[in-house]
Amino acid sequence: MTDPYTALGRQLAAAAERLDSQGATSRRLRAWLSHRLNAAAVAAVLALGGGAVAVAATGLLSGAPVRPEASLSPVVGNGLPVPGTPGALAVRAADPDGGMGWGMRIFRTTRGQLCAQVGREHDGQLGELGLDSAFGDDGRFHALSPDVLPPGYGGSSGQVECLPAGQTVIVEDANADRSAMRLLPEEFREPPKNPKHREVPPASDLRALAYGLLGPHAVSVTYRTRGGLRTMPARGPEGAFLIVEPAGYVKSSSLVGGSVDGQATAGSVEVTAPYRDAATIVTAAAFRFGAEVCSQGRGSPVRKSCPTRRMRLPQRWFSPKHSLHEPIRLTLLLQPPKACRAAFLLDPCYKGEVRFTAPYAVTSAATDYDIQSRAQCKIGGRPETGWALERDIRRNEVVRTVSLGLFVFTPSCATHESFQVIYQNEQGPSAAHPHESVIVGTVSMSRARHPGGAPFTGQGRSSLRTG
Amino acid sequence: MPGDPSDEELLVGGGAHGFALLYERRHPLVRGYLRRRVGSHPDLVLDLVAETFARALERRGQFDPQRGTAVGWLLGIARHLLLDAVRAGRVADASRRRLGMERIVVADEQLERIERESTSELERSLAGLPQEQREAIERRVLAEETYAAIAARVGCSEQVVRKRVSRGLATLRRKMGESA
Repeated sequence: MTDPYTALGRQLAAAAERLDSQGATSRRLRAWLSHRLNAAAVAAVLALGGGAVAVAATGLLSGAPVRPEASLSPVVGNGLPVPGTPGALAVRAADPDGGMGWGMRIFRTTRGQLCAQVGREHDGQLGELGLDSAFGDDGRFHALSPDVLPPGYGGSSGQVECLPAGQTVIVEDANADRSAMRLLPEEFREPPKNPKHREVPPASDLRALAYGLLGPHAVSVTYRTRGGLRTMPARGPEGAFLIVEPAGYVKSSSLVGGSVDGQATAGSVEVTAPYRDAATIVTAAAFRFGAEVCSQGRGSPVRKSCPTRRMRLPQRWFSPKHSLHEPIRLTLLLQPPKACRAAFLLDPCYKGEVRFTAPYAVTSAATDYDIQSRAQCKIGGRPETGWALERDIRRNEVVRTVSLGLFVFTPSCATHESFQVIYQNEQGPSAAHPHESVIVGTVSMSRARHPGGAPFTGQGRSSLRTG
Repeated sequence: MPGDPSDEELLVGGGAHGFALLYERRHPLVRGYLRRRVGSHPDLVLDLVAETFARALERRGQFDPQRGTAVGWLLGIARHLLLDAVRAGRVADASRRRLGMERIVVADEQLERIERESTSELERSLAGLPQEQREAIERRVLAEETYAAIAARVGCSEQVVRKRVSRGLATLRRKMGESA
């Protein structure tokens, strides 16, 4: 097999050529969908006495409902389910070992997201199971309500995927576990050191899980099994599908398989093609455009290839150059020495609080304000971290937001290091979101201030307060 | 070779071919830098190397050779991606996704074997140095930072940095001589 670093070199060379030939117009992939690679796990059998025993749905004890990771808000992150939209389960799938099956429901949220949520199915209800060290191995069914969503875009609460309307997605997890509770990637790497971490079940108890939403034109999905390729229909106007197979036939370097997103619009497809050079669960999908049926990927019984198009979105939509030159205020917040040490930084180190007045409203997950730190100084603190607000913002609202990352302040570099506030509308102007992406303004580190308002000079810890 | 373009020339004016050459030339260094900090997680190292170069590719227009070396710039990106990964619990992949790059999936066992085979004698010896000597050598010899810059970054005098580099190199020579 090819050295992965050689393969990476080829990918980079190809990407560089694309950038050069397309005037740096690369394929847009949404930042909030990037979290999608972190998928969770699900399954369908209770392990009792060291063996795998199928449990009938009837007579199963109920445990406490699954709680969201954080208190959710209708105006933050994915928002909350719109009342009434989480209807009956859209898709069901049997478990390889029999017994309790799996299900997926689809709903819309207050921030305009379309979400697919997967779990174990019991009497038409989704849930997670207390096995494989989930819920203390209590053997109970823990109901999963639609508002158990990740606190931010994408994210990690169970098997749930939220995306903007019109987008398509395939989520894969080659090593899903049976409980439907998320297994963290680090739990796969070594014996648990953190007492909160779970033990990874034996490979024979894991599942290969794939699900997705392929849009109204989707007809079918073709996927790998131990016995060869199979094809299943895509259901409903969302083109939903759910696959649960024994794990092991698709090798993954970690817990996570992967995901693909794109668009399927009338007459063309930018969707579903799984990784060309990697074994994935889903290998192809078929679509119907008018009277024509076609497929994308490999192994579909539909031989005719769909017309595809590369997303050619203006670079300025996701990397704007134009600036409104609005004033941005930066306050440096001194961090405790142990936080600096944990981040491999010298003491003192800081977080940056950025304050600005929002020129445009944000009313859904389709737009956002990003704060990007920029550093072009060799010896400086390089606060090269960025974050997004991921919440609704009123027009002219005064926004205060604090950096995720820590950094050191280097006086000689202060003029070369800055924070930039960007209004992001990566889907381009529309009636609902008429403004293009734009740089709101930039503030240099040399203009930073103490929490008290005095100009920051980089003096010692004794003169500063912890922020 | 005297006629070879510098890293900075490859990055700034080398176009796609230049960037590919830069990757070929410098990815072992970035990989080693990350490997020493990440430890025995070759899949994480691969993800971090991939995102480091993807981000560098996206932002090569921002690189200014007047302000530092290309290697220092690459290692700065790698370092911040690593810190962000530690805090977020995952390796960022935004640049790779924007560039349409696919995640390279390799079995853990194979990655570990590749890492074992590619770990150079120098890296193994470097890993055995005291932390302050190792950092001084990495910054001075690998990242080509100036003594003044390292001193400012590490928080000691230039003289101390010079001593650390000198002692570290002497130890390395001795260790590698012993193993030869």
